[in-house]
Amino acid sequence: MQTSSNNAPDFMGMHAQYASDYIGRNKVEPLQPYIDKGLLTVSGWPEGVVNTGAVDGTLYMLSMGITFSCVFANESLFDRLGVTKPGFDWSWDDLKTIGTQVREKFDAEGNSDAWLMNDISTSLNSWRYFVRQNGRELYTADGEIGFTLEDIVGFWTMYDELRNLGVVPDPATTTEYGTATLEDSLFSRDKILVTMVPVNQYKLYSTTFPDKTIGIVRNPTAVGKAVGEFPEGAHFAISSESSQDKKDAAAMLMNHWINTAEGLSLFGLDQGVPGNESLSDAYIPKLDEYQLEILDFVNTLSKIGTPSTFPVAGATEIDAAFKSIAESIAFGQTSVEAGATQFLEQAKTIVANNKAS
Amino acid sequence: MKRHAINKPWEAYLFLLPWLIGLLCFTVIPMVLSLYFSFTRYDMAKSPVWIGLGNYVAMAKDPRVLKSIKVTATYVFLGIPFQLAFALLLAVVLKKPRFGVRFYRTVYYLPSLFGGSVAVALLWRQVFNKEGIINRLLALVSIQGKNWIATPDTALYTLILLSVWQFGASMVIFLGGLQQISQDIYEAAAIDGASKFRAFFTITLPLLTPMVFFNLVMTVINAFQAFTPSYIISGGTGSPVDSTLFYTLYLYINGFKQFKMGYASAMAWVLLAIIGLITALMFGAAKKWVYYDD
Repeated sequence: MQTSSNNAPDFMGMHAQYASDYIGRNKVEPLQPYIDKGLLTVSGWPEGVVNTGAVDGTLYMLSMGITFSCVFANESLFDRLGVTKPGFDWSWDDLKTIGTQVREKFDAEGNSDAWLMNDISTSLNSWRYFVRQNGRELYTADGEIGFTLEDIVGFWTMYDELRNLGVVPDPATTTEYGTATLEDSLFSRDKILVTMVPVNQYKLYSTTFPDKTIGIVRNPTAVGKAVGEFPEGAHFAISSESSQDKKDAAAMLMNHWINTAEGLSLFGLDQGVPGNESLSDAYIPKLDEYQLEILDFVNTLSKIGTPSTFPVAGATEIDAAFKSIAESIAFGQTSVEAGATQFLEQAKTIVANNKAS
Repeated sequence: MKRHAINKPWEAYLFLLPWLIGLLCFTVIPMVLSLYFSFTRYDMAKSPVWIGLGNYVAMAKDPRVLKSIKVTATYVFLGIPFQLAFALLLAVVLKKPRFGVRFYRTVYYLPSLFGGSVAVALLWRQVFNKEGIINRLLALVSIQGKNWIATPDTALYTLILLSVWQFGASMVIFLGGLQQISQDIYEAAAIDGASKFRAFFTITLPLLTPMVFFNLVMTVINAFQAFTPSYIISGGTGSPVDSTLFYTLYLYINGFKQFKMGYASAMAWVLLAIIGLITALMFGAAKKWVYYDD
């Protein structure tokens, strides 16, 4: 809204999912001139990490830290229920099996208000993993739709089944807790055992819930299919609308946050593993147990994950359409097939309209 | 005297100048620009591109526009009769000068002051959720309540209830109207044997129709522009399944979340036309049921 009102901050956080909508409207300043001026550096940064902030070969953002999506498992609750915890490489089939066991245990306790995990059938980012596991990307490198009807039907059919099995909550509960704070979430209230979040939040979760032993495992894998994981994370960017002196100051501030020991000591690994490798290597001896877990997971997944394509202009609108239709399916107002067809048509129209403008 | 008479308009305009500047900058110019933008494709970054009636044609084909009109109309036409009836009932009860009546008048007016606020919308969300106070009360009589605010069938009705709760402003106007009705008329009716119930429908209500009409017009215009309750309670999405997608919320989503300011401007002008038409219809109908002293 600030950007729409021509009132964007000089220095801002930017997520790749929404970046194209800002970059396509010339709201984000290219960073190379500031690197050339010496106000900002990418020295010590792996090329792959730098490129997570580049669109069509132009660098617009620099990563606050590299992270991977993962699953946090409340091991204390698994132990109490007597259900086997998910293994590091668990699959969608394992999720269904464990979820059914959890349902049986809760039902035996007379508790119909708890489940294995939350319903994330409305999450475009989660679906992105699913599409990648099918060997495709949400968007092609040249900014077209990369997914197929089969990808949409498969994902929403799976969640429909998980809802019917009681592995994930009913849609009203999902809606109610959709905007809940961490302290008020289903995970916090022991109403679910696992939740899918970026691994950099591990310290936040562990310190917020000291009474829970939380383990980290991968997002469910698809046996015999491709890898879903890709490096992600929030970035820093500079508004193109600011005056030149403010842009310079923003570049220096960005450099301070991501390329100095002081900046790293302020952030820690809260936003992921810093892109500046020499800096993060020097920081390793100072990491606490939670941060070491994060680092270990990111290092492991860095060897498994593969880069993904950049979201297209209009990604925000596509995201909204995905959420709206997925919700309609969850409440039984639209069939999976009709919803999937509708979403594919809407997504194609949105991409075409954004290209036309 | 002559000099004063000549200078008076100039002085008046001088004193009016701050307001005139405000009117020009914050109302007239934005309205003119908005009308222009409604005929363009405009994302607030690039220059507007003239597309004629394109946005209005797209609106006619957009199912979410129709849905948001239905949601808003239900909110307006279901909520307002209850709100006005409740306000009138309370005004009649609080009309008589008995002990503590001023305190209760203040207390009942309070929801109008903060009823449309973010804090109350958040509170409302807590009251009507699955583990909220409503379901706890129902549980006392062995009724298992649902998640009222997150179920498509009931979510809008919780917002209507919130609007009904904000009856205070209408109540104060009704109170003012009730106190202007001469006691002589009631005494004459009582001598003729009229019951209190009959006196209410044949004396109070007809003499109160100008206030009813005023309240009706004001609440309808305000209700069509309601935004905060839906925005807060649905998390800015109109969920569940667009059941709380107010017209203004969808306008906001288009303009500020999806950068379709031309489309949002067209929606704003259609809303103005809808409100204008309904207000005109109300004024037309008023000739048949509103009684003025003159």
